[in-house]
Amino acid sequence: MPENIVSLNRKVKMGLIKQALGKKETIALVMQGKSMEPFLREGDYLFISKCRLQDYEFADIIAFETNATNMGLIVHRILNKREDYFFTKGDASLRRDPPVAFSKVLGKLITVNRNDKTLGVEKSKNYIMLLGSYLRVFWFYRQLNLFGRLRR
Amino acid sequence: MAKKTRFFLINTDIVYKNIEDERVLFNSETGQVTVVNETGRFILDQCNGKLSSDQIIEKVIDCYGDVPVATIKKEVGDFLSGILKRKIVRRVTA
Repeated sequence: MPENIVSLNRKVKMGLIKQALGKKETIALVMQGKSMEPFLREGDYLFISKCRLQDYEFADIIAFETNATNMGLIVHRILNKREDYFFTKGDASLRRDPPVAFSKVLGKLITVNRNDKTLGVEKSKNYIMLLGSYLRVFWFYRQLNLFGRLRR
Repeated sequence: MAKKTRFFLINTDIVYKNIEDERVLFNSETGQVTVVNETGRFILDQCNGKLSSDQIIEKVIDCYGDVPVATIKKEVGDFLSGILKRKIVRRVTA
């Protein structure tokens, strides 16, 4: 069985990933953990691509460097972006991550490969955006207390 | 028709770091990490696109003379097929 990059010492791992991203636009990483389930599963091949700050937007999945876990690397979804900071969360996580500086972002997920099949990243992004819109509408109506008034 | 000699060359997708006697290789195309020992590191250094498997085996025999030749041939052969399978090296023709 091939070793996965997460089993390596954090410093070595990040060094190798940065070195690879310096040579190539897109690199592959193997997904570990369950924080992005059901969209991303353990063992999926994630293709991460370097992007400019303006290319990152709501619902994009990004890989970033962190000291918060032993893994040193997290792949989570953008919930919000303010200047050069990102607010992220795993799809299956209950808590938001601490703000992530752009300098810590390695790249954006562009393709997923599972059992030799390519999965569309855009599809999951669209679901999240749709869900986000519903939640915003719900929040708006709740603020207006329209549901309560309508019931009466 | 004369058989073309095939040489071993490290893939361009490979980045590595030497840690003490070992070498950690990261394949940015497959996301896989491979750790090789000192001998593996020596063999990988020979994969420069100029040496065939027989020539690499000869170099290893020169370096590790105290090991039986048959053992070296088998182990280096297995190692080369392993790194080919993991796409760490590729075969090139002169």
